[in-house]
Amino acid sequence: MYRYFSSILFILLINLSLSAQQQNAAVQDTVEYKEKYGIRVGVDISKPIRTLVDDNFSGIELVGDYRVYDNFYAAAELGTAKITFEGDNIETFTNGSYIKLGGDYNAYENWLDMQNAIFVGVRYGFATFSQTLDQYQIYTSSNYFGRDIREDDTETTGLTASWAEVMVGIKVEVLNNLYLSANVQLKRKIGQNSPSNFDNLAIPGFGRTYDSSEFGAGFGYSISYLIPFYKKARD
Amino acid sequence: MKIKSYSLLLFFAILAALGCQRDDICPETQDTTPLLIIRFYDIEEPEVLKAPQNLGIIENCAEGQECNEEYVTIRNRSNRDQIVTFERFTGDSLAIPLKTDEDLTAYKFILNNNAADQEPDPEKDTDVITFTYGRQEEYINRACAFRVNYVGLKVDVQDSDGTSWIQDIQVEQTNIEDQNQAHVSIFF
Repeated sequence: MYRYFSSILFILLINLSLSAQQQNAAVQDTVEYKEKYGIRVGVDISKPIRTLVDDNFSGIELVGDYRVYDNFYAAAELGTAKITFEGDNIETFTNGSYIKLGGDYNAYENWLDMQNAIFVGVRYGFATFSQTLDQYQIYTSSNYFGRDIREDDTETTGLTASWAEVMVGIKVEVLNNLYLSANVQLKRKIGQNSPSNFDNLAIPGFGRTYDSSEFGAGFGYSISYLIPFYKKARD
Repeated sequence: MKIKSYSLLLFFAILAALGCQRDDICPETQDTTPLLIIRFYDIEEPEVLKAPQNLGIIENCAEGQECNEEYVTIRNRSNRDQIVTFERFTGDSLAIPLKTDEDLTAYKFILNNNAADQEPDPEKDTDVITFTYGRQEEYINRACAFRVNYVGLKVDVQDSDGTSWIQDIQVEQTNIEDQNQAHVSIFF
């Protein structure tokens, strides 16, 4: 048995060295491109920009993915958000954090040794947050007694929501191992618990909600760095 | 590749459609805080509706209380831009607002309120009706925010000079949640 095994090993080694020689000989016309596999970590830079520009939003988001196999990546986002919803008759403040787990598929075939991506992804999102009803109006069909505006500051804690998400986006390697990525997201609420006699007007990670539908939308723009673990030849 | 670009296009079309925030505007047809509906009947024939002539309705002020000196106005139900003023109102039913921030609303009901440019004479056919109730807030949606439903309605008629034009008053519905039926009947 052992003899049998070692002879196989021997044949393999010979084969390897032979193929290496063949490669060296043929380097002129067939170049084998190696692709990096590893973990990519980064930060969504659209969130701090929105924090500066938009009075009703502040938040951060960390992004990461791991190349599992060929064009398939496991991906996750982790973030916190504070969202103010200002309507004509109501104002709320939402504060919480979220996690999104899922995967990306790179549908782009790279030239040469480039490692860019046009990808589609799916995510499961889960958020835990609190919502404060800052101000609201009692809606009436008579102004005889004036507008009845309440300032309440009732905070409801321990709220949760979950949603499914599909996204499309691009990733471009701008410097060695440094990537810029942009994506748009379409989300659908799966479940939530909302305050009694009220609703969740915004959900961290999901964004504002809509009364008439379960859908939401979002976008991301992130910068990330690839930590290569190993290289593998492209198929 | 063609299918891919089409599905991308569809994706962005859905996103664009979501951008239109149609549920941020409170629709005019929305049922808001209900008004109190009063119907008037003939005391001689309690089944027959009867219209009081030239009825004026003003909030009744308790002493030291700040209140509205104008005649009661409501928005027309079928056309919200139109304002209905109860100054010289003649009709067998009407709708008036109740306060949403207090459990008590008092009105002067002035019969034969002819002189539009004069202060209403308190001696002349003026009755004060006090409505007391509990309030329950109800969330409508993000555009319209909240409304109030009234529960446990009670009415009381006072008259300063002892000659009340209102003979009898009855609460038909103690809980006011919609405007489909009369809540109070007045007999005179």
